[in-house]
Formats: sequence, structure tokens, C-alpha cells
Amino acid sequence: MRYGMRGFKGLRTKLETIKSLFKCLTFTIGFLIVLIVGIIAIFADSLAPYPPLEFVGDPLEPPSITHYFGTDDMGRDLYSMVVYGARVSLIIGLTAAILSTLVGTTVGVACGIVRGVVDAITMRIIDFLLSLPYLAVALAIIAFLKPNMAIIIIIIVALSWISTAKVVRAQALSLMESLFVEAAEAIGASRLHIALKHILPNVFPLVLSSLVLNVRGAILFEASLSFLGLGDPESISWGTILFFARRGGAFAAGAWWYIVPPGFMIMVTVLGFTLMSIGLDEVLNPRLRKI
Amino acid sequence: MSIARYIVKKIAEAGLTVFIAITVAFFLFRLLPGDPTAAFIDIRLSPEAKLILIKQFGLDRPWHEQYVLFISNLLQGNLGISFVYRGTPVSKIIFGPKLFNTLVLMGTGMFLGAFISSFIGLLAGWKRGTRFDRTIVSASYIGTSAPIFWIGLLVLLILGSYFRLIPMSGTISTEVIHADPLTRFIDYLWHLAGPLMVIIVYFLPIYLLYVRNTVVSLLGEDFITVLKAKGLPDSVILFKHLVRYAMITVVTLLAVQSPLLVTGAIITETIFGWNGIGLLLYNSVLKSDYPVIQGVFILTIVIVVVANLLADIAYAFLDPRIRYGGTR
Repeated sequence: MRYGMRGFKGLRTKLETIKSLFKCLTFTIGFLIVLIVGIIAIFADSLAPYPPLEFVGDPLEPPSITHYFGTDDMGRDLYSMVVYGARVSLIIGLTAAILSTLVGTTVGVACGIVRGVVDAITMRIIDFLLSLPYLAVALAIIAFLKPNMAIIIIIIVALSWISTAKVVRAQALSLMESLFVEAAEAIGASRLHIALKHILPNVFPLVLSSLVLNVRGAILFEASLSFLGLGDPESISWGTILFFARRGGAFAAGAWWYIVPPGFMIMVTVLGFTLMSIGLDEVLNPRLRKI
Repeated sequence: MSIARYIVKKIAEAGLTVFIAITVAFFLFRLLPGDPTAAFIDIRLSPEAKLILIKQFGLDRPWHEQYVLFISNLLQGNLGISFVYRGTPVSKIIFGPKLFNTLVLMGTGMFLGAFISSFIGLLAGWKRGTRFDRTIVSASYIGTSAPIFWIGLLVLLILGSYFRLIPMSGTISTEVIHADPLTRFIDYLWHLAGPLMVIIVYFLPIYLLYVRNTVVSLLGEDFITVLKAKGLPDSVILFKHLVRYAMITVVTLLAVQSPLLVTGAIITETIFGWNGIGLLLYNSVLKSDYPVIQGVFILTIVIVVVANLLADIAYAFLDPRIRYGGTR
């Protein structure tokens, strides 16, 4: 309970924490949104009436009973494309976010415990990376490599572990000053033991909210790259659909149904994760009220 | 720390960051293409140009000599020759109308965004908990979740395609290129409207939320009570006293989020065909024009670092705690 944070020790506290999370309206709304998008992604096969890449109608048909969201410029069913898009966006978003949170947490905890020169150098690197314009860096890298899902994920991870590392390190540093860590050191506990048993459980709430924020960032980043036509050409995400819309003359045709649904889905999904992270911070990290 | 020493220290730090960035760019653009000369030489260049480039950048020499030549060329503004624009020097492509257009778009957009968001944020924070405040906060969360390219597409679809209020693409209409300056200026502003709107909407919600929260966190402070007790009207407390804190918040954000400037420029310029640096970078990526990508890459980092530096200096003037040796 130090520093106004709740660790995650014991099943009862865990259940209580989860209960208080769902008492928070912001978190619950966000969670429900994410849940719905998740269900869409998982059951895409049964929810989509057509295969997403097959030509099943005339070009640029407006929404109708047979094609809920109309068709794109090649006669593909947009509703099915948007449903399958949930899968791609979530897979990339979650994978990239989990990896960057893992990297960030490891670096953060390590820096907080080792301190000294290693910490100082890492912080310099982090400050440098923070001043990089991410999209420009990603474009420069993609200029040389043919993008596929793995490369997109690696690029997102490489650029987004930093924020997690920063918050975790700050928290780890202050935990290292606390009495229970001093006591553990006094009885000869190893650094690894302190990291795993004392620091990690106590930074967990921060890591959790950082993870949710990373998902949000990763989904937006992937969407931006795909919108620019620089995503994985094999998989159609919401960003890719908007790229097709721009290239396929949706504007000249005034085809709003081509542009509104995919962007709306990105916005709602990102909003879901945003609300979850706000709720998480309100309940778990009440002293770190950001926005 | 005196203000002069503070500024000198910040300039030195900025210089170091730029130097590291240039070094990273040097290695990145030599490791990634596979062929270490690919960053400067391509089959699209003429044989004479190739020979000149090999000599200028020492492409036949060991890498440490190349590095020294790279830096010295860079300091003289020599970034190589574009593969695409018929052998034009990269610096000539970047430093001209394109950079000007981007600075106009992003500068105006950021300034207006900061201005409008400070105004609304101050009001929302002051009226904390009211329906006005809740509406503004909810709208801002939705705004931060909407991807900027989607906002751009919607603006283009509604204002451009349906109502034909703004042009669909470009910086200036072809018909007015030879017209008098005033007509050209008006046409330029007309083209600016769409992308500018998007940039403002891009910056608005996040700035607004931070300003609002700054105000909320100050509401319980003693000096507010004193100002109220003095009988000052709300408008004076807000727009004379609290506005100072709001400005510190905005300047902090300008510094922390200056990389967003580049993202905003790339996406908005691509959507609206605004002839700036962002569009140049995008087109160069599509055409593998490595020297231009490298040049723009270095330039964007310099812009971000300079924006940070300006924000740090503005801090010193806005926040006396920094001037008098406190910590930020």
C-alpha cells in the first residue's frame, strides 16, 4: 500500500481491485467497447457475410440490405472488410503493445535497480528517442524494407517501449528507497530477488495502465502506416481500407460509406482503450492523475 | 542559474542531440539499403553525377573518412542529389517553397490550436463539473481518439466533395499561377483552409485537456481565494492570472509533443496534396529517393529539437522559478 498504490498480492485483493475497477464507470464503458470489438474480431468468420477480398457486387454500391456498408471501388463488401479489419488491427495492436510493455518494463526495472552509469546512459538514449518524429523514422525504415506484419510490429515496439520504461523506472527508483527494499537488502537478498519479489509487484498497476495506453498507440500507429499504403499489403486493416478509399476515388464518387465506417471503428476502439486507461489510473494509481 | 547560462546550456544540449541524430542517420542510411553507396548513388543518376558524388562523399573510401566528409558536406548544405527530380541537389528541393509551405501550415495550425484550446480549456476548468465542462471533456477524449487522417478525409469529403467549399488538392490552382499576387495569395489561403482545419482539430483536444486540468488543479490555491476576495471579476482572474499557468502548460506541450508536428505534416499534406516537406517525404519513400529521405529525416529532427529549444527558452521567461534557479 505504499505510495498510494495497491500491489497485486493475494487473491482477495485481486478480486477487490477488479470489483472497484468495474465500479468505475469510465473503465467499464471502455472495457465494454473493447470487449465488443474483441468479439467482432474473434467471430469475424461468422459475422462477415462475404469473404473480405472477394468481388461480390458492383463497384461503389451504396449501403443496402445485401451490403450493409455498401461496396468498395472493386465491388468488395465493405461490411465484411471492416469486420475482418478488427482482427488485423487488434492483433497488431495487442502484439506490439505487449512486446513494447515487456521491453519497457524490463528496461525500467533494470535501470531503477542497477542505477549508476547504466541508468544514466539509458536515460540519455531514451531522451534522444523521445525527440524523434516517429512517423518520419518509420517511413525512413519502410523506404528500405518491404513492410510485412512482423516488420510493422518491430517498428512500433522499437519506438514505443520508451514511455513505459520511463514511468516504470521512476517508480522503481522511488521503491528502491523504501524500507522494505532496504530490509530485503539488509538480509542479503539478491538484486534479481528484489526485482522480482519487491519491485515488479509494486510497479504492476503502472505497467497495466501503460500496456493499455500502448495498445491505443499501436492501433493508431498501424492505422496511420496502413493509411499511407505502407502497412502489410497482405492483411486488410481499417487503415488499409481508408488507403483504398483515397486511391479508389471514393471522393469523386462522394462515397461516404467507404470512409465513415473504418475510421469510426478506429476511433471507437482507440476511445475504448483510452477510457480503460483513465479508469485504471483512477483506481490503481490515484496519485498519478494525468488526463 | 542566470537566464543566459540556462539558455546556453539548452543550446548546447540541442546541438548534441542534433549531432547524435546526424550520426544515427549516417549509419542508418548505410546499413539499411544493403549497398552502402545506395544512400547517394542510383541507376537513375547520370554517370557524371555519380563520379562527382563518389568524389564529394568519398564513397570509395573507408567509412570513417566518409563520416567526416558527410558531416562537412552537411555543414555546407550538401546532402547529395535527388534520384527523382532530375538530379537536383537535395538542399534545393527541401529549402524552398516546400519548407515555407510546411512552416506556414504547421506554424499557423499550432498557434491557432494552442490559442483556441487555451481559451476553451480555461473556461472549462473554471466551470469544473458543469455540463459545459463535461461536454468539452467528453468531446476532447473522443477527439484524441479519432485518427488525424480520418478527420482529414472527413473534411475533404464533406467540405471538398459535397459542398465544394475547399479545393480537393494542392497548394495553388494552376489557373492563377500567372495572376497578380493578391489573387494568388487568396487562392493560397483557400487551399490552406482544409489542411489548417485538420491541424487545429489535431492539436485542440489534447491541449485543451491539459489546460483544463491545470486550471482545475489551481482552483483550490490561496491566491485564487485572495483574488476573489479582492472582488476581481472572474474574467480578470481567468484571463489575466490563470492564463499564465495555461501558457506554461501549452509551452510544455509544444516541447513534449513537437514530434507530433512532423506526423501531422506528413499525414495532412499527403491527404490535401499540400506541397510541403511531409508530402515530399511520403513521395520520396514511394519512389525510394534515399538522398531526399535522408535530408528530410535530418531536417525533421532539427525542427523537433529547435521547437524543444524554443519551448525551453520560452519557459524561462514564463516561469520565474526556472530563472531563479529552481527546478522545473
